[in-house]
Amino acid sequence: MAAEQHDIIVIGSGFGGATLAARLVAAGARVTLLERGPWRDTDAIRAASIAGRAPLPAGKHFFSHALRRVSASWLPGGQINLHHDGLFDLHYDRQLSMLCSSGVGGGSHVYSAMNVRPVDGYWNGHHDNVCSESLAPHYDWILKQMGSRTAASSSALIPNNIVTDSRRPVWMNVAGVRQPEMGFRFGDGSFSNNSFFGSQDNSKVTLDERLLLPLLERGLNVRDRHEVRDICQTEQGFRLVVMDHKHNRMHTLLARRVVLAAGTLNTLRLLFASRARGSLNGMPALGLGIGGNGDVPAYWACNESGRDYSLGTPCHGRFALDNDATDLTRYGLNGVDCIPMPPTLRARLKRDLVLVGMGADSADGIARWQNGKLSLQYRQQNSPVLADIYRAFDRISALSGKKVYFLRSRPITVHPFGGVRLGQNSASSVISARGEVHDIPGLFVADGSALPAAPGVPPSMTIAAWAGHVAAQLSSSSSSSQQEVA
Amino acid sequence: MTSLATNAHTHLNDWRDAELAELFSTLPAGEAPSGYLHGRLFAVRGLGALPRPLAGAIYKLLSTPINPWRGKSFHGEQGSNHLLWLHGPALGHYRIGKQNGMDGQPSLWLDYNVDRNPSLLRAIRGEARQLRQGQWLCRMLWQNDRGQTTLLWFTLQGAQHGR
Ligand SMILES: Cc1cc2nc3c(=O)[nH]c(=O)nc-3n(C[C@H](O)[C@H](O)[C@H](O)COP(=O)(O)OP(=O)(O)OC[C@H]3O[C@@H](n4cnc5c(N)ncnc54)[C@H](O)[C@@H]3O)c2cc1C
Repeated sequence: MAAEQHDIIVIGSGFGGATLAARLVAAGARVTLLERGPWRDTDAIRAASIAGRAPLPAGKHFFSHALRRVSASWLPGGQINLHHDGLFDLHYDRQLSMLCSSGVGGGSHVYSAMNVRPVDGYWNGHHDNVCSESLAPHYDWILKQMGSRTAASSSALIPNNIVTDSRRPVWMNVAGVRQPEMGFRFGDGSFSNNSFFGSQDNSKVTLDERLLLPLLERGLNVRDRHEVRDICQTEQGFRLVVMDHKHNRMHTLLARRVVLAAGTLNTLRLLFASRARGSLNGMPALGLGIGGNGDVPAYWACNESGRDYSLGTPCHGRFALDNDATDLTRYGLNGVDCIPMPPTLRARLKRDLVLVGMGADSADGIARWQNGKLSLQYRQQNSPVLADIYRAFDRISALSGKKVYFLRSRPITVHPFGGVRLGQNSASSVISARGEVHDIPGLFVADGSALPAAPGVPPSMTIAAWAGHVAAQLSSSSSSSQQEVA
Repeated sequence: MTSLATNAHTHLNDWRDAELAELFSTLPAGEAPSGYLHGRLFAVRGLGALPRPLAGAIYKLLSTPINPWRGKSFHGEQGSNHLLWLHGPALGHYRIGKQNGMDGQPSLWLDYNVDRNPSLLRAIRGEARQLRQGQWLCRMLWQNDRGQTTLLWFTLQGAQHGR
């Protein structure tokens, strides 16, 4: 069988990949999207009769479909692959652990739908040709697509929303705290079970149904369960080695241009592994500038009688403590009904809360590739924001008299970024203002790994905005090369 | 399921014949290698139905001293296979040329029909194409009156690429 030739291949269908593919197809490009995970069996995807859907991890599918892979440098081979259709990837590293997801729609299935812009000026100062002003229309586009708005601006009464919660402790300040916009269909959904284990009834807007489904008719070619294993630069473009998990078959695909959007962790893996094999060369700054966005998740065993915090949107809202600027967010264990467990335990979990502290860390972590395994160096003492969050959690413990559990010396993030960062030159960065790898023309990066600094807020909109920007660069270069041909 | 590995050899060692043929069809003939190259074989005819992890494990085993074949040498238009160590005893010699391969595209052609070989080996042909800088993917063929049959695949890799 002869290898297929493609114009643009996009790897990964999360906030970066789905946005980029959608915008390119809308601009008339021919795009093939390769996603290692399956289409998820949600209402919208079922209604579209997409074949081969995989269940979300719920009920009897919970234990089989929750985890795809666990990786750690001390594991044999560096990783254990649990199920091709698993939803989460966990990478454990002493200095920084990361959690990300798998499936058509990427992180939108597991995220808590906080759609937030970073501080003004976030994009300034990293490259002469990129600035916050030029990225602004791309934020507007994705926020509109996700239908993002604050709970207060919706007419529905959202259970457990922090602003309207009459039993909120007095020290949990919301006055003057900006509440996040959320990508929910407020009004007609139940909100419960629409978060970390997927959007069970489509109350949460996900990228597969929102961006990708409508474009299938317009020629977007989505190949689910296709995992890219190697990217090799050739004279004409790129040769990709792809495992088709549906048919247990390896394929070789050729592409003129490739856009990497496999998420920070997996984009780094692919680039490092391909370079180690000799498939790609250069990228001296690969792995520099890793960060965890200052994430510190905590479990607050508040055990409030008469409460069910799992109702409502997963994110209840943001709050602050007196005389403390630390950005804190409150969540319920939305999705706890999906997990098989004794009823008493479930009832207890519904009475507890999750807190997440977040803020711009110093983005100075380094990823390395050693003996075929990824290892991360991340010194938490370089990022004072982490110590600030630890202090805030200690204060909450003291103020409430209820224990807040968190890992003080083992940072874990659901918002990893960097490592393939944007910058002026190849000595300190990997990609240019076009999103193209400095020393590998035709290879682009459009996911969290491209971010040059910590957004300090949930990053999905920033990643999507970057992908929109890269799509615009690709579209303009395609149309100019078409004009040249004409 | 295979995992990403840092080495071209292990990267391919659980692939099937048809998958390798598809990859091979995308490769350029490139320049002929020169000097001594480490070899590793896989996708042996008849073992194609084995589950991938098992096939991968067998080929990994065949890259240990259990299998005496170490690699090949290329000197101008002549070349040989080497046993026991890379510069070890030579067995199976070939003429190096260029011609269209089984898929009709240009390949480096290793023709074992040379006087120095015992008659059994003279029916062997080899096709090589450049996989990456310093790495070649090769197919070993059996030539008879009815045409050519693939016997197995192997990679050749220069010492500096043998990470
Ligand atoms: C529990 C949780 C809650 C979160 N909540 C929020 C939130 O409220 N707001 C927010 O802004 N952010 C949130 N995030 C973070 C957000 O999900 C990520 O920042 C975002 O998804 C990253 O986008 P991406 O495009 O970089 O990667 P992803 O969205 O992770 O997409 C990458 C895709 O590439 C695929 N892929 C990986 N490797 C390969 C390969 N080799 N071949 C083919 N495909 C591949 C993956 O399967 C995946 O689908 C949350 C994350 C988690 C885990």
